[in-house]
Amino acid sequence: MAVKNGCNADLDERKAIFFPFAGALPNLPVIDGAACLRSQGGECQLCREACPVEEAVLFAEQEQVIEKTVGAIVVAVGAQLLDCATLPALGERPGADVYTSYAFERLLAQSGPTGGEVVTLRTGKPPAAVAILHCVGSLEGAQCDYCSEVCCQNAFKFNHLIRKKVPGAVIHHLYKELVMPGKDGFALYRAIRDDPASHFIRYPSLDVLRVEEREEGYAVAYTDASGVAGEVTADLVILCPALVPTTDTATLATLLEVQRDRLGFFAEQHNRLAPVQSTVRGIYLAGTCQSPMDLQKAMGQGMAVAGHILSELVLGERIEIEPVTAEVDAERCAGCWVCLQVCPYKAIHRDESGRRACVNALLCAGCGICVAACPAGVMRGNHFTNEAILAEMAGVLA
Amino acid sequence: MIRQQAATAFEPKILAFLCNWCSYAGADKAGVAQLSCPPQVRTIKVMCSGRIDPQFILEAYRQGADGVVILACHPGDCHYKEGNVHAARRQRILLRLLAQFGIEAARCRMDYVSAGEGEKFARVLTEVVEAVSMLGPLQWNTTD
Repeated sequence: MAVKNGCNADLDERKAIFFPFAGALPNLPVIDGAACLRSQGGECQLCREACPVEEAVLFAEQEQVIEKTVGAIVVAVGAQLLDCATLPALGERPGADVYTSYAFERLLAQSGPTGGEVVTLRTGKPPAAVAILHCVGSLEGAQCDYCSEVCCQNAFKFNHLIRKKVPGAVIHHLYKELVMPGKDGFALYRAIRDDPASHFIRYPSLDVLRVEEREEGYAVAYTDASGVAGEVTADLVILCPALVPTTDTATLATLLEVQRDRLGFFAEQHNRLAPVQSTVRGIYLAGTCQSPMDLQKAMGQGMAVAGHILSELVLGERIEIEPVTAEVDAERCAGCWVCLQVCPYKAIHRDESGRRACVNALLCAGCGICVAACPAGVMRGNHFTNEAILAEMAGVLA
Repeated sequence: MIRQQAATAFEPKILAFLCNWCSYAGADKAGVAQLSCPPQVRTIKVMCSGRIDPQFILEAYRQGADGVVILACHPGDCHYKEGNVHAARRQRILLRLLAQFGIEAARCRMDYVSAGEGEKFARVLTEVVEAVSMLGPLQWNTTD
């Protein structure tokens, strides 16, 4: 049984029982239920027969939901590339020598469909010219008006590796902006800028780009930033699509009750002071689920999150909470749930009776929004009570 | 001319609600920068502008305040995510109520002052004092 291998961007095929990718942990094969003949009612058990260890292949194993009570949650679900099927003018489709950055990455890999050889599907030969389209989707439109941060590095790495594997290839970079900050970025860019066989063309927006299939390869037609129309030919085209939130991000955010930002990524609590905390205490963010970022930043975030959790959840120690919190006078709460709706921290819930509100002091940040909102005046803002504020007012206005 | 004379003779009482994170720090900044701030303003610190119950504002008028200012973090900068949005909404609804009492909108101003905006803090308060001085004392509880 052979199906498209998603790990290699569908460029080759895999079996219904397979290793997810080289170096996967745990390094065990898994059965793809959708492809396995047996799980569709067939009698096939070739994998079990081939396995030298008896009872190692378990057909009876089922997916199961495991419930755990935890003290912290780390959201590290990553991002995904903009779907280039939404940009038909760029010509990315199965069987074409137009690759997304991910697919080309697999083409370069030792464990990839060509074993690391850079060859075109059309001829099976190395390309004489390559066009790399930067900023595909990035820096454009309301949904993607940001730089995806990793594509320039990616594109220049590709340039570097193509140059090594196919020394004579001409490489065209078509870009909106070149962004290579940091202490290592410029060195990589400079090497390619100074390479006579690497060319740079700046284009203003995707509207002016068109990838056309020709008898021998592709032509990338463009109008450059100064309004001059032109065309480059290439045997292989690489698109660097924008990093966008995964399709499941919205569902996960709703499940966790954390907020997302205007672009759909998970929102950090504060962009300078609390960049790895989500909007709910105890839920942390690491990596590109929060914002496009490179590996170094993602590693830094992951370590920061681990540090936060380890320093807050110490076995045998109590968690320190701020004294400024809200508190419900349960006797008088009428259960209108206005507080529930206004709390930005999901710190208020219904008590066991289901008729009164109850504040989780761990989650409460003490802003007092609910105190001001409570129509019955039964939400007490500790250390900033109505009585205290009114007395203060009486004092200063006397 | 007469109005100007009245304005100089009348010393309004202004109550300013400051949030702990932005506008209170902005007030500090104004102080550090030695900017002159109108002495007619009395400040009350709350953790968040979202804590400000509209009843506090009515109570302030009842106790003799001629004007009230709510200073919050800039939209999107609220330490508590959206407290300033709640404050802004409540203030807008309150303005409609105040209009029914004949209380002018200038007596209940909402503005945004970040921790770095000492200059804006001083300017907004000065503007409020000037505006309320022009309006004269609030006499809502003596009109009928």
